[in-house]
Amino acid sequence: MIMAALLAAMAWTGCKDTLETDDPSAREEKPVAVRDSVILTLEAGKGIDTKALELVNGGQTLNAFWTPGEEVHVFASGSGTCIGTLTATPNNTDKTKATLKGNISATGLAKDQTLTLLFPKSTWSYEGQNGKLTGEGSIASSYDFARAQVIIEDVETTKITTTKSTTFENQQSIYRFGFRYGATTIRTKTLLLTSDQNKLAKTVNAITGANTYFASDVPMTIELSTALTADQAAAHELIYVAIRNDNTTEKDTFSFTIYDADGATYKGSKEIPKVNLASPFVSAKTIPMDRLELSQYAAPATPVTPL
Amino acid sequence: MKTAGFLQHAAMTLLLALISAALAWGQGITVAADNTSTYVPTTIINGSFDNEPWMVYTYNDVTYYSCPDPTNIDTASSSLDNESGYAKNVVFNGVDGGWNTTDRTIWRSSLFEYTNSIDGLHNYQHNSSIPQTDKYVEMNNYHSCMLYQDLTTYGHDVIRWTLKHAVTTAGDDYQPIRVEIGAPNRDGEGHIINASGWASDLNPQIDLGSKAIFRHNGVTDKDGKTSTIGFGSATDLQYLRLHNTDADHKSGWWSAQGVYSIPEGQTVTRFGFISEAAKQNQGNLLDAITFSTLIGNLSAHQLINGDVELKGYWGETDTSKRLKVVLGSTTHDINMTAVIGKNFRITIPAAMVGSATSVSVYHQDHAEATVNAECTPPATISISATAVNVLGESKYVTTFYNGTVDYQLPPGALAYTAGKVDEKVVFYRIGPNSDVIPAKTAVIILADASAVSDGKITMAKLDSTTISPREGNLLTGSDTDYTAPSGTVYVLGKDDGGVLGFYPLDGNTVPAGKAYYVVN
Repeated sequence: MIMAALLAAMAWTGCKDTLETDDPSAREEKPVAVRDSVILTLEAGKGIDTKALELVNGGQTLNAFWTPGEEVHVFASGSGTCIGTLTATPNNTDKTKATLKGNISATGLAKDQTLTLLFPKSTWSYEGQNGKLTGEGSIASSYDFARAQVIIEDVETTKITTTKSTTFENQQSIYRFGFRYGATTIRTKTLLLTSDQNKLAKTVNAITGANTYFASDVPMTIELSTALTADQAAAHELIYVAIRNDNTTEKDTFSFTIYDADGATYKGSKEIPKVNLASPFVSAKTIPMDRLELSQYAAPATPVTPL
Repeated sequence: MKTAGFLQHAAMTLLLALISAALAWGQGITVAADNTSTYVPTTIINGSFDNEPWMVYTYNDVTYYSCPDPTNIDTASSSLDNESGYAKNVVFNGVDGGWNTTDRTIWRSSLFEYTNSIDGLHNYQHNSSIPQTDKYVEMNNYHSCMLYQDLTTYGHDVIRWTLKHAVTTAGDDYQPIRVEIGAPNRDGEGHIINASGWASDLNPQIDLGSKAIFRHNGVTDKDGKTSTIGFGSATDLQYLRLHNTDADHKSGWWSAQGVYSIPEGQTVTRFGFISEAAKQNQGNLLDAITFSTLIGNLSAHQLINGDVELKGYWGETDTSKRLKVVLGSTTHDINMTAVIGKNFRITIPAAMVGSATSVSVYHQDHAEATVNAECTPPATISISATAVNVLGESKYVTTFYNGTVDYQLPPGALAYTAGKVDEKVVFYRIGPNSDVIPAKTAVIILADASAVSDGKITMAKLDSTTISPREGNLLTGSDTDYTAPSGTVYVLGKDDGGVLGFYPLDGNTVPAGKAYYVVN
């Protein structure tokens, strides 16, 4: 069953955002050069949708919210280098809102320059996932990428003014997979994933958006720390994968190779509809799989010479 | 009837000869030419001094050849003397003279004289019995220098050298020359004689200290008599002194020979003669000089089936000589008649290899120059695979086992161990990627077409691996052909309808390197 999620792209409608130095006395001296390190404070108002993740409604709905300490990374256009990190402080009454604050390097910043904001890591890669939605190394902490851009409107001695509103956009869908061999839930330990269209992003350039893709011979690999159990399946603790599928056709087919806890090998595939990144939660909990096996043909089978 | 009887007799004779040859070759050891090898053995150039001019020098922009008329070398002889300059090898009309010298005198260079029997520079009594054709060279001892060739060599090759030697003066007036072999430690043109006249520089032209692997096996004269000259009896000499103590050397040509083992990494070897002292024109006559590979490029590899394949080059021309191959405590005499002067491939059956991990090889006359080679597996091996359909995908399949070596599969090929679940043979991955086959692990290999070339999958030998297969592998294998004492042996195969599965073995023997399991 495919479930919808709530990861809608949000408009950033905060008040004028300012880039201020952390030294009030510097504001009195004009003109002076902007200091190398300034504090960027964003009033992340209604709609900023970079977030932690939470399953609600009996596991059918994926909600998003900010958690204290989450980080947004700032890139100046052209350089491709992260110039600073902002830390989120969620709104007390509405966790979908937060204040982002932190030091950034102001060297070389100028009016009309674009700043790119990337959550949750400065390196945009979908490699090395562990199948978890939350926790260490999970999608929430490492793969739930969202991006926004602001334009510097003015650079003064004491502050930098940016555009008043912008949009944070989700950059991938989140898939929940479960696999069965016959009626039995497969105790998945490792999942290898390819798609017919070969448009599953491996890395993305935060500035340019240019992608590299997983290939059919080097598939996307999700290695669970411990194999799933049937109990975990009942509790919806299946395999969660952040996937940015750049396929533009209406349908794609994912092919799965699974190794279970013993190392037995299973293969299967699933047709996947095109997913809008604005509502990017897809669940397929009972994908049927074939096990890699051969039959033993006892007598009166004709004897053979070994291959 | 008479003709038929003759043919029958001839056929029997041939059959007996073949049986005899097979037995002589050591119960299944086969010898064949290795036409794939690009190895080129070491061979001295112009050891007979027949290629003229074999040396040249220049003085005041005038070129002097080692014979007066390079275009007609049979008409006269010449000496490189009475002028300054220094002599060196020359390639004349595309023919390489071969020889070089360290001689560089400032006013006189009369080291070498060239003689033929027709119109010789000297009418030595030796002219009536020149060992090789009608030409030889006289090396005079005006001062100490070297006549030599620098030759491309390969570490561990065994070189055999031979020479013919005579002197013009015996006894106290005789000046010895030395045979030296080793890595060059001079540039070949830097042997300086001081301006006042004769100066000797017996500093060796080769790196004697580290290359003192100089062996000879005595000398005999051209009639087979044992020489009494003082060649020394040690088998490891820094040089060999051609020292005449009696008059016989003045009256005839004497032979010397020996073997030399090329040290590891010695890519150039200097072979030649150095005069010990200045006694002016007391000459040493040299001819019929050889320096060529006897056993070269030797390597040993163990094949999947346990056989050892010995590759190399055989430079012996005497068909009666044998290659000695030592495996463990057993020495095999190998008849190399079929591969004289060729790169060879000798296959030793696994049963004869036993537990031996190395092989020692030597020429029957030169045990002192033994070459040892590890029975190492080849860097890559290729195994045949069969096209099949597995879960709707086109694949290639085969099985594999090796008891000693870990292998890396190519991209697109995966190896699996197996287990029995509900009468199904289930595939299990090996390690995280299933692309390594640890030693002692029988596996099924499934490969994409991209991993197969000419129906074969090529795997690379690994020095080691930390990958361990899952315990309880249903499959097993052997490095030698296996015959089960009881039970039903199941192997991977296809029935008449092309259905892939595990079937009873046809026959009694599973080939070495294939996976199987037994149900009792």
